Amino acid sequence: MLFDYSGVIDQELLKRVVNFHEEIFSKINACHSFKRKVITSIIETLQNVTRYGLKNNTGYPEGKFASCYDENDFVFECSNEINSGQLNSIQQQLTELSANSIDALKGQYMTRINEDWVDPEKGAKLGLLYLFINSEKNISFSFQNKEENNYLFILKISLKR
Amino acid sequence: MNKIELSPTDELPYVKFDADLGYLEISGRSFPQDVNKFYGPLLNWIKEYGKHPLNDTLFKCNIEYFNTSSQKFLAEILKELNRIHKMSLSVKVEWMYCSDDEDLMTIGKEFEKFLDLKFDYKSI
Repeated sequence: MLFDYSGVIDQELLKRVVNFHEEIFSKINACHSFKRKVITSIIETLQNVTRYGLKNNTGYPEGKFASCYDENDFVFECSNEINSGQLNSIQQQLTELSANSIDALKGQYMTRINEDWVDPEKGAKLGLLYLFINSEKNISFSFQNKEENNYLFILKISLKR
Repeated sequence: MNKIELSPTDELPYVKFDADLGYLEISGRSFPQDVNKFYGPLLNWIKEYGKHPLNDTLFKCNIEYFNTSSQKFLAEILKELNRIHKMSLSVKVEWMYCSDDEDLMTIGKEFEKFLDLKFDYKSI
């Protein structure tokens, strides 16, 4: 285990997580391509939580983030609460993304990158698409029913060295 | 026009936009939470510069990590530079990438496909 965190997920945590993993990869002399793939995947995952995660009573989303690494793979898992309204939308997105080839996903990504608008609150809305491409579809996901019609959204991503 | 020079941070790149030199540079990491707040003024600066550009403009892009929202704004910046290029003026894009990260060069090539501009790829 490299990193194991539970609590508020915000931009400050993201910066800490990025700096931590960057130091680890520098120590093991990981190539820049792999390092960039891991770090940008972490950025998209945690910013998805900061933008879409269900907020606690202080206005911040909470969740868990854990990462581990062996000779071949870097794996991380992130979980956060969402509401029942978000569940259908996320499930639909994930199902559609899973059904596409990597080349088709890359084509979609570049087309959408060249569209004009970025939502100030929600960003480019390309996070999941980017994660599917970056991980070459090595993504698993699940939803656990929680209290008050909320769900725990668990995303696990594996990146090959 | 005002020059822009911004120091890099943990989440924001170094930026230098100088209309007198026709020099634009974005270097480092870019994953702001509010991408509009950071890139909006930069995009406006380029639109303003595009009204009276120099004969030669150089854009040096040396991004280490960027989030998807930053990539969208980078695409907007490149489109503005493409407009200047279409005025029959010289616009050079230097796309820097680490020698062990050819994927980053590929990202540049994907951007280039949507533009008339030709990128100069420089391994560092």
